[in-house]
Amino acid sequence: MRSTSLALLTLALTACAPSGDDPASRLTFHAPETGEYRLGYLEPPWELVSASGTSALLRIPSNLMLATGLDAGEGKYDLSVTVEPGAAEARIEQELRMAAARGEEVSAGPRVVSLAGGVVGREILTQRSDPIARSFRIVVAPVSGGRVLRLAFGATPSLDTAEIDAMIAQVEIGPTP
Amino acid sequence: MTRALIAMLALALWPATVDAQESLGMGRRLGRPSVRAPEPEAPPPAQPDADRWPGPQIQLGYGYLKLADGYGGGDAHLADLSVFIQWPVTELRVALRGQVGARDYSLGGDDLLAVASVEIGYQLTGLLDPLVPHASLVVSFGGLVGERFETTVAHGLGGAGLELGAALRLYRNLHLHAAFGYQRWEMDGAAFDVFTFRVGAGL
Repeated sequence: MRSTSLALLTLALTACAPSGDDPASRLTFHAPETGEYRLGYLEPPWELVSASGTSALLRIPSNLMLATGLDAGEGKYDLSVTVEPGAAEARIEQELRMAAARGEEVSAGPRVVSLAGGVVGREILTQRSDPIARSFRIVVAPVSGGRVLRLAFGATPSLDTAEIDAMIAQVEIGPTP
Repeated sequence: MTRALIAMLALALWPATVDAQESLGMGRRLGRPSVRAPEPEAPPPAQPDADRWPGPQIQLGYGYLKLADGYGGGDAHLADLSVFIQWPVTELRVALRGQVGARDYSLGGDDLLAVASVEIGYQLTGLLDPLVPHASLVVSFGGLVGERFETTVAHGLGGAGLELGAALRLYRNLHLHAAFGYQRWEMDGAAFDVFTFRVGAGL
């Protein structure tokens, strides 16, 4: 009797949950009030560090952060989300020049990247080796009002992975530009 | 002379007559030929349930299920150990099960999946011997450990469902088994339709 009750309770609880077939079912979403974008992230390990206006900063803490409890320095993964004026093509060229100025090596791009809803953006992948090896992935996609959504990933591991691809692919752009 | 011949003939025939009699058993050996020894007791009639297989006691095997990852993956291959609790009512099927294995994650390496289950159901013993089919309610709990973005994450999971299967007795308790099931699991805030398949052998 107790087992039956437990089973029925479990079934009742699972009946209300979203389907696990949808990858979005396990994501936490952040969207600015103005609706330019909607970003889904897997929490944990990602966590929203701060959000203001159309900007947001997300992070996966480094092992050093976790061990010492210090919230300083670069995380294992960082993601800075901003909405900035400009066109996607011009903006990615500007990102290339800025990366070269920082001494980063371009490992891929500029290339086309797909976001949710068939929105197409542009991206570059760069990396630096000094003082600590770190990879960067910059994605820009057009949003309304002659602006672009800029996703700036930085990480110690490689960023050219299926997980990052999937994270970018589910970013929804608000009103059609 | 004639009387002597008749007497000799009678003496010659007497043992043959005695030998021709039916054996008197213990009575004769005890010197009481008129008392028949009791017949040896017949073996007790076989109990109808004496040869009835009470069902499996332990099973080892392979389990497959799909715990969808949302990207087309989620196939899990598990080692499976089931221990059955024996009851006087052999139709009552109660088992504790442990499963451990790897679950494919489309965007990275495999996850470690561990599931413990309680199975309560009905098994049809005797009627279709050596085949024992069963239908059971299964309640499962477990955990999944994997790497997401180079970081170890763990999630608990749980759910319940039904399982249908059968065991085929080969010799004494040695048997093969196979079962299909459906369970509804919850993990990390999402619900999963989990179809399970198990095969193996046991005692």
